[in-house]
Amino acid sequence: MSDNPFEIEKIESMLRKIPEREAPSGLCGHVMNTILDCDYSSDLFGKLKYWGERILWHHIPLIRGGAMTAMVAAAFWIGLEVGSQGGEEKTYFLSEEGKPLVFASKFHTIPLDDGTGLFEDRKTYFSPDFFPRSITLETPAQGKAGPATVNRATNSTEKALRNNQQSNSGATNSILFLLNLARNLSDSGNYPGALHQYEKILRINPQEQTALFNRAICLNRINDTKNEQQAFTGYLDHYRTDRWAIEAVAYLQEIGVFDYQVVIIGGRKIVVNQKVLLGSHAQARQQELERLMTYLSQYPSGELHLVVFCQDDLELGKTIATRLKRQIHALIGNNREIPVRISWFDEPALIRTAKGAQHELEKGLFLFTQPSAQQRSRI
Amino acid sequence: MHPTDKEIVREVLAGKKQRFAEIVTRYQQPVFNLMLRSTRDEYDAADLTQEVFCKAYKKLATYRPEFSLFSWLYTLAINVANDWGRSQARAHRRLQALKYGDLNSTIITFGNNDTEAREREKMLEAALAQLQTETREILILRYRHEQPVRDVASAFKMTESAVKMRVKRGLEQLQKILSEMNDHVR
Repeated sequence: MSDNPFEIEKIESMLRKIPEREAPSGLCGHVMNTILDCDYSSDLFGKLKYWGERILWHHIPLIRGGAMTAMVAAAFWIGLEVGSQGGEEKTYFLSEEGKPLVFASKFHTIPLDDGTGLFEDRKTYFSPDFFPRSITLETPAQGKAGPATVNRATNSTEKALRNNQQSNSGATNSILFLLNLARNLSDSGNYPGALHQYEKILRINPQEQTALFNRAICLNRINDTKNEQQAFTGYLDHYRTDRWAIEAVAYLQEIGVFDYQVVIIGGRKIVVNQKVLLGSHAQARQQELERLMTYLSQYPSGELHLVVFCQDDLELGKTIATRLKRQIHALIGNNREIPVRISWFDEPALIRTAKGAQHELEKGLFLFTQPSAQQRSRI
Repeated sequence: MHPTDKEIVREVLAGKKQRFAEIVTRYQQPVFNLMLRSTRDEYDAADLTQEVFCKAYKKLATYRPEFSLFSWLYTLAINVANDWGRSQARAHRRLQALKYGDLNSTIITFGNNDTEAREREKMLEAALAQLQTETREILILRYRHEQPVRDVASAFKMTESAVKMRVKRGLEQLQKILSEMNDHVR
């Protein structure tokens, strides 16, 4: 057996570390939309209310147009001079008249009342990330994003822009359209334009994951290092466990920012703010540790190891490590399910960037988990 | 401290539907990966992941808190994946192992040069793909997600000793497949 390069223990170890793909960004939001949208089906009253609202909502322009036409007809009928109220009013009436027609044509192309509206949304939802798919799936007759998608396929960014602007009605749809538009702009090398669109998205939803990340990428592309740093840091304020978070750390390291560190918790890569953990700001440290504890509870693991490096200052290393351990114990309370092991060295921390360059930091923190001896022998 | 799964379930059942987002956030990745292993297609995997969470939301009242929420979700996910598998015409769906698309790339991707590690991962994934679905998922649930034998047994409706036996045999099978692959590479 010793000749076998794949011993059972090694396979077990490989299985523990088998990489996982990130779930598509926005999946959670979309699941929640589906759940909350579908909640109408719980009872008959809810069902009727839901469909009533949906149908009414899509008919409002028609009803308004119809009401105005009826008013004009009634005015003629009783001999009143509607036009005497001024030309502007007439123009307004005519322009308003156009709107229901636009809506009417939309209504025919998107049969929302047959229950497929949500499904159509689902197809387009991932379009920023699943772009090639959206081209093949969407036709103008199938989805709300049809015209923009088609124009995008023909690389007509301006047309896509116009169509996107025309279609921006709801906040969610706006975000989807703006994401697509920003993607088009960045694909064509117009990073300032894409940046502008991502900023618009972030005004609607400051936590929009794709916009937060891609905004930072655009800033990287236009060499705006200062804002790039802020943008990636902003991304990491919200997201720490996905692939993009790990890439954000790599980008930050490229511009000489080593505040964040990728660590492995329960076999998963997550990002921690080592500057905060090593720093003296108690409240910030507390928040960072709370975050860390969440990951520890989400990704169960045996022991938590904290290794503190403080160049030429063993005592400081010990102080920091002990302080962190104490604070973690205070967070866990009496339930000491996660043993914390600490160690400290008076040497600089060595950091290897994604591109392989090595850096020495005066202070550094290495953090990892490993199954306890008890867990290892559980099978 | 952050709430446990059981606390969140209690809140959702008490009417705070939005709290379900926390459950989705916590477990979307393993469920998505399970679906990816079953479907080998990102879009199908994303759709099925969504279906799993919608089902989970509807059936949340049936969740028994003595077991972990994750293994309960995993059971649902395996059922959804099996239903999907049955509904597909195998001839049209048989794709090469590990032929995952590159569709989830962001604007710019950062290169990973650790080719050796990647090769090992690929070998393991390919070997796992050759195992029976149930055996593969038992191994992944047990090792990757570090679930206790008791919860794995509950998820797969087996006895604990049956799970242990399946784990042992699965590991042996993996060892054999990996050794064969290794010999082939040489």
